[in-house]
Amino acid sequence: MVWRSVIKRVKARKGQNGLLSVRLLLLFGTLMVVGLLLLASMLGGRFGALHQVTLDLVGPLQRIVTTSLSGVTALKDDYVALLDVREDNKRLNALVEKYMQELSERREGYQKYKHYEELLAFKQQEGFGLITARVVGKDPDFWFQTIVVDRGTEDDVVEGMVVLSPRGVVGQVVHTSDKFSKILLANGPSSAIDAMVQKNRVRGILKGAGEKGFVLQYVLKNADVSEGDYIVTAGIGGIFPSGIPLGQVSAVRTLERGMFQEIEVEPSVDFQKLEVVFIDLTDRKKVLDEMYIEADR
Amino acid sequence: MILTVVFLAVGILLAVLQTTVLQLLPGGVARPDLIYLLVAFAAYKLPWVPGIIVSFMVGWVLDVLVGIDLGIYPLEFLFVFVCLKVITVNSPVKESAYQIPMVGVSYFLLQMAVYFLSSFSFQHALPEWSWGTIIQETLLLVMAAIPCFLLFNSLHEYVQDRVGRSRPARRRARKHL
Repeated sequence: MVWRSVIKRVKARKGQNGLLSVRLLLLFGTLMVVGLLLLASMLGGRFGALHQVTLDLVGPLQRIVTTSLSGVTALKDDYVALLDVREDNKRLNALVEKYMQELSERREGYQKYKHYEELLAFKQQEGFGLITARVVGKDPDFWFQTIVVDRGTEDDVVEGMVVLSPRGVVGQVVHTSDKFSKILLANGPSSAIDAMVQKNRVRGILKGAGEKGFVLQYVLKNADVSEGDYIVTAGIGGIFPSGIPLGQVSAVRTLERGMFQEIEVEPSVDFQKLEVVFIDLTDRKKVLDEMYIEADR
Repeated sequence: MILTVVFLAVGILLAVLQTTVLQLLPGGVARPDLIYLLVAFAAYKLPWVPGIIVSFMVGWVLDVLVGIDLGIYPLEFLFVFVCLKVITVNSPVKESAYQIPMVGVSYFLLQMAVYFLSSFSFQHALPEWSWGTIIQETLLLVMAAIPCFLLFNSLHEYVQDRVGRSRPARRRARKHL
């Protein structure tokens, strides 16, 4: 009887040890796979097939949630708007009077603009144009700003393309999958755009500062920049065409030390309220050419 | 296995919510990092292998959705998981009274570490360090941790219970065979 119980205990221990070794093997196996995937992902830094498949799987979920929420948000916004409607009415009436005055002045300017536009359209070649894209997801992190849109390589979107809104520059496509793309917003800390002050063409580098908007750097102290000045793209580097609105100067500080001014810029685009953006396909050929040259190398 | 799949699905759902619904809320306020809470919970309650799988996969999904330098989120979440797991395994810190303060402290330290490491690659591009923002985010996370942990815990117990019930049934079925 005693021998039997001893044999049973030994067998049970053997079973436990076997299970333990299987678990350890599984643990090390998983760690190795994870490590390799991580290493491949980090070293390559490429948005590979696995990333694209994941984005194509999770993207539709984001679209469903965003689409179903947009109805609720619109209802809420309408209700909130009703509360302030009387106040808004007074304010808007005053604005209408002011704008009617401005309108008559601008009408003459508009006629000239139309004429110049026709001449320009005659000169310019037909481009690929803009495509609209719906924002389906946003970056929860507060250090980096990205969004996901429902247009991908199937819609001829490639990495490096410029993303715009009617108010100005939104950002640049950084990653793409078949149906979705990830956009690095212009106010992201890793974003830097060649910009200039519209009134006197003074140039600088516009860097993203997250929720604070932009900071215009490398503008000399003697340059005439003041609050309210409009900042537009300079067109250097070939990524952004020149003259697209970026924002308005909100603060100018001249420090005792250094050669440059410290200029804060309020973005013309409200990055928090982006719902639909335009992806500029006009540079597609250029981007593809660059990609082919790099691939040939 | 079932536990891993369930918490993985929860992770994906949270990643989707985090990048859609929570972004509609007022800026900065009421946007707790729910995915971080899931990783912390995994460290407290899940065994090593399921925890690592859940942490890595959730990091991977977030990386795909919002990451710029690919690989950072999986690395970050695995690091958090391993650190919390090592600290809590066979330690009184595992007790529920310490869990939520630990989440706050670890999140605070992680943000400092992430900012410090990011300052090497985005030296001039990072926004200024803000103690106010970090403290606000941490407090928000700690407040959100209470209901989230209750939910995760209920789900964990439910799944464990279902798995526990199905095991003897399977054993009995094998014996009959």
